[in-house]
This record gives sequence, structure tokens and C-alpha cells, in this order.
Amino acid sequence: MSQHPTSHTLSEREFLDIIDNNSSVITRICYYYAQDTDDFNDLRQDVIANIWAYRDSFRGDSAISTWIYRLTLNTCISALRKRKQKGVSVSLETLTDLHSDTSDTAGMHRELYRMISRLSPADKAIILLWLDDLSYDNISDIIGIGRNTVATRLRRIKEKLAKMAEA
Amino acid sequence: MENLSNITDIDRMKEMWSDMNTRLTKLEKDLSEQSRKVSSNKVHTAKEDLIRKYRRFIVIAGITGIFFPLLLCFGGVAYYPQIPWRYASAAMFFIFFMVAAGMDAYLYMAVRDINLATMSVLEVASRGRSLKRHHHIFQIILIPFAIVTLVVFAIPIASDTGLIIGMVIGGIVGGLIGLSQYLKIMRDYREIISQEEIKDEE
Repeated sequence: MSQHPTSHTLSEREFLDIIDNNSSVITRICYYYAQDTDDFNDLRQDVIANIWAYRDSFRGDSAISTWIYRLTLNTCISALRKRKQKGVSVSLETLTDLHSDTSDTAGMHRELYRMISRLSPADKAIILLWLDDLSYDNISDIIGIGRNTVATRLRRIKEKLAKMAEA
Repeated sequence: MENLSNITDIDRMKEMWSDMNTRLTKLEKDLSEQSRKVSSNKVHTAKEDLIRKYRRFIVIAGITGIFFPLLLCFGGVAYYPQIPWRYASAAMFFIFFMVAAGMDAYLYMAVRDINLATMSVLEVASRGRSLKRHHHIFQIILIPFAIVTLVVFAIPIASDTGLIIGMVIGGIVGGLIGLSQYLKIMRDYREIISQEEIKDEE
């Protein structure tokens, strides 16, 4: 997923390549922050619009993946999000066929999704980054807290998830 | 179904995470198409919308703050024969609108300086909270100032019922428009991460 950092303003071709190469990250983060299918689509569009708007800000001082994670999380969490008028709310489970899949695995997926969704936006960001195998240093850089705080927060988040699972 | 408490076992959680990611891959195919639309058209981000709103307020406040006092001084002689009231009222309007324009300029620059790509999640959330707080404070300062300005404006013409009624109606309409814009701006801000949530404990 990581790419060699570039040291120039991203061209349109590079922009499209970056989206293609990081589509799983963008989709995954937006999925866990969205309330419903409309929100999911709006979030992804906001993220892509922001990646295009901020393409001049990438200076190659971090990996592109870190840049994408930071921008996507800031778009999903920050106060600066477009909120469009919505029609009927459609559950996100319809996008992944979870609503029709009755297998035990699907049940566990639904439960994992619900548990993570119930976390605060900050905790959600930290656990999503950890589940994506980012290092504590990377998580620290993206969230803006110290490495030790990342470790402490992760421990508390796992305790919260364990309590949710037992309930 | 498998015991849910196993979900929080690290290896099991990562395994399920990986499985769930496989389900999400089918959603990725639309992203390329959206990207092409964004790069070929002018798509405004939420931040750009907010910046444009503040810029519009600065222009409106600035122009009103210059022309209305001039109109009052040179065009309002019939209604404001008493020079002290005329100039006092003009001065208050000028100060009010310049202060409003200054506050909007501050908010405009603060929003413009937020960089979602280079700033950490904590910093962006903190700046967003700060902006919302400042916007509230500016409203608290400007609303009483506006009321005092209108009272000073109305005193010399208090005997003219028609004008007073016009002022009251204009004030109500203006207040409703202002309230509507204020609520729209507050909807653009959303306080999600509270100050207590993320603290650097190092």
C-alpha cells in the first residue's frame, strides 16, 4: 500500500493512480464513519474532492499512504464536511450483502462493524489504523498524539470492545 | 454463532477485519469514476463553501458599512435634522459593520488556514472547535451592539410611526435572515471530538 513519496505537485494522472492504489483505505474508512448508504457516498466524494483540492500540499515528506489516511480521517471526522439533504436512510449492510447473508461469519462481521461504529470518532480512528497494521509511530503522526498515548488508548479501546462483546 | 467474546481476541479480530475488507472490495469500483468527475469538473469542498460564505459576509458588511453611513450623513437630512444624532448614528453603523467585517475576516482566514492533508486529526478537530467557539462569541458581541445601534438610529425619528414600523419589520426580517445564515454556518461546523476525548498523555 505504501508508495515512494514524490517531491512535486501531483498531476491528474498521479491523482487518479493514487485513488486507484488507495481505494481500499478510502472505502474502508468511509464505511466505518458513514451512517447510511447516502452518507457513505457523500463521504467518499468529499474525500476525493479533498484529495484533489490538497494535491499541491503533498511534498513527499511522508508516505502517500500516510497522507491519504490523514486526509481521509480528517474529512470523515472534522467539522468541515458537506452535509447534504437526505432521502430515505438505507442501511450500509445492503452495500455488502450483510443484510441477506445469514451465515455465522456474516453475523460476526455485523457485530464487529456495530462494535467499532459505537466507538467515539477518535477511538474509531485509532482502532481502524491499528487494524490496518499501521505502526504506533504512524498512528501517532496521523492522530497527533504521542506514541505512549497511542498504546494507552489502544488498550482502553480493546477493553471497551471486550465489554461490548460480553454485553 | 461463534462466541462474540472471541471477536476481541487480537488474532481473531484481525482475521475478521481482513474478511470484512474482502466484502468491501466490491464498493471500490465506483471510486475511479468519481475521481475522474472531480478532476475534470470544479467540485467544491465543504471548506471552500465555508470560505466563500465568509468572504461574502466580509464584502456585504464592508460595503454596507461604508455606504449606509454616507447615505445617512448626506441623504438623511430630512429625517435627521439634528446633526449630533445623524453623525452619531452614522458612526455607530460604520463601527458595527467594520467590526462585523473584521470578525468575518478573522474566521475566513482561520478556516482557510486549516489543512486537512498536513495537520493531524487532533489539530484539525481542535481548530474546528475553536472556530465554532469564536463564531458564537462574535455573535454574542455583535447582537447587543446591533440593538444599541438601532436604538440610537431610532430615537430621533421616534415620532414617525411609519418609519418605526418599517424599522421593526426590517429588523425582524433581517434578524430572521441572519439567524438562518447563522444556523447554516453552525451546521457546517460539527463538534465531534470533545476536548476530553483525545489528550496527549505523554
